[in-house]
Amino acid sequence: MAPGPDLTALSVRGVSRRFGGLVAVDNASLDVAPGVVQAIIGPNGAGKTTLFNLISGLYRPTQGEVRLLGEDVTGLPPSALARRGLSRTFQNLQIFFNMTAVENVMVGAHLRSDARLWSAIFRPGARARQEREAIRDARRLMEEVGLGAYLDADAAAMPYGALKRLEIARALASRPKLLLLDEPAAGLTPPEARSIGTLMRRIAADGVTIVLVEHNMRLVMGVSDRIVVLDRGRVLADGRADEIRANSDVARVYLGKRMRTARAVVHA
Amino acid sequence: MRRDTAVLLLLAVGIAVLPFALPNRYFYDVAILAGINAIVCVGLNLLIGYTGQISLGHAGFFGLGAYASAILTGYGCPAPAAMAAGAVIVGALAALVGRPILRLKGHYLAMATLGMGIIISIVITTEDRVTGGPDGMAVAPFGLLGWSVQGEEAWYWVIGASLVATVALALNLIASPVGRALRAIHGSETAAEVMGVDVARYKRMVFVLSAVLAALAGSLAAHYSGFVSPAKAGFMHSIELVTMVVFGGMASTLGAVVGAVLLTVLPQLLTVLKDYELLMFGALLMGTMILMPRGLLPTLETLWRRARI
Repeated sequence: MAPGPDLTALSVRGVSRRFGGLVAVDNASLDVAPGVVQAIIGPNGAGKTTLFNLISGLYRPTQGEVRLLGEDVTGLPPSALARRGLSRTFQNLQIFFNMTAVENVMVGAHLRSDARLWSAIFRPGARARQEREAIRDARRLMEEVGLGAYLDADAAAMPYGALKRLEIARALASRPKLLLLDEPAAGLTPPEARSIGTLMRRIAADGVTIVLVEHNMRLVMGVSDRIVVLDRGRVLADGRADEIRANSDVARVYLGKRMRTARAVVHA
Repeated sequence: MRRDTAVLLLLAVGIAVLPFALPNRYFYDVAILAGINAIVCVGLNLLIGYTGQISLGHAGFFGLGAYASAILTGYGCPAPAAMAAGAVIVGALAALVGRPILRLKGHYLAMATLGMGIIISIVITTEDRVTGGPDGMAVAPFGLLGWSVQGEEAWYWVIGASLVATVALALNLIASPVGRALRAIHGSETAAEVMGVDVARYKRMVFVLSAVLAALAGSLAAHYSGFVSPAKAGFMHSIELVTMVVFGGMASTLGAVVGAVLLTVLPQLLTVLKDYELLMFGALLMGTMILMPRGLLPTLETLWRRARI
């Protein structure tokens, strides 16, 4: 693999992040080709979310480089990355609970709106038309992710599963080229998780590159083109789903304890 | 009719018909003070109620606006120019101070804005050669080219029109993508930033806007009363302003107006209780916040909507 820097949607090169004495991400490298669904898996504490936060600009890497669509974006703030086509969802929901569902999605379209103070205050007429379009776009996007039942809901009144989708709709509203999904299926029922998988494939089919952190292995194996395995901050394996499944290191990291327990039971 | 248009119309009609119920100069005076407070509170509510950033120093901006008008007109500067200069000075100061302190959150931001307000009021009190010190100073009438605003009735219309303009501005702002970005910051700074909202810039913008509105209101207040004193820039006044916003209802522009009007009028009404005035005032505040934690207007709105269903 390893295509040239111009061909990768996302390229992480030797990125590390320390928190005091703890090395959360240790010299991790990763290339994501455009249009694929790339999963990052690993046991709890492997550094998956930290890696996400490094890619999306919430943390600065202690060392290393992050390139987005060939451009060096290391250390840029999230809003600057959003302008360059990156969006994400959050493991712990970051919903605007003081707004309606539609307004949440409209914030996602912030960068495409006329957000100048002058026109905000003095041009209500011209703005009203743009706002109507923005509302229509947001409602359509909500229907596309399966939130047709919540078009007039306050975010605070929506159930957990719907809020997970609302985060996806909000992220899509920015028309990202690269979408990071942080545990989109966490806390969902199996049918809900399957339908999130279908949604992801549809988003990828529209040409959006997806990077996914997820614990639901059935979903990861079913939806991902490629999988990276993190363990204690390091990249342990990187390959297609079937390669990862066959990888003995991965099995040991994931199942090690349980296999020992299983053997102990057998020998008892 | 859109809700914002209805709110604006309601306010304008209310201001237009109120003089029929104002029997004498004293009532006009109370109405004018309420209007001035309302202008500051509408601006402050953009910062506190909508964006979720506290300020315990806005009386400082109010005071600076008042003193800028007092001092500059004293040197012969035309009143509108002095007022504009005050607004520009306060805007620049807010932008400068806002850069470091708006990074702080919650209690820390409260402390920092509190400190800022105290510094402003100390400077005003101690620079007595320009400001008259603790005694305050007289202010020339608001005038231009021989024409000037004189008397309670004229001032009532000036303040009333200013308030309507301020509310229109605030309603427009909140209904726009900018307003949505501000509310998003209140909801989740992290998510807002990830969605492309330059959080630091927007916080600074709304801080400056609310400070400038306070400064303009300060200028008007100074010309109206013909006198300024450091108390108007002080801590107690900052607390009063925040209380008005919270009492009326955060994230509600009309709520900020209602809060300002009620808390300006209420102490006047309570004077009949003589010694128990402050006791009653405090009890009313506590009762309202316990029974209506979201503030007066949002709670009443919910009740009204429920009653109709």
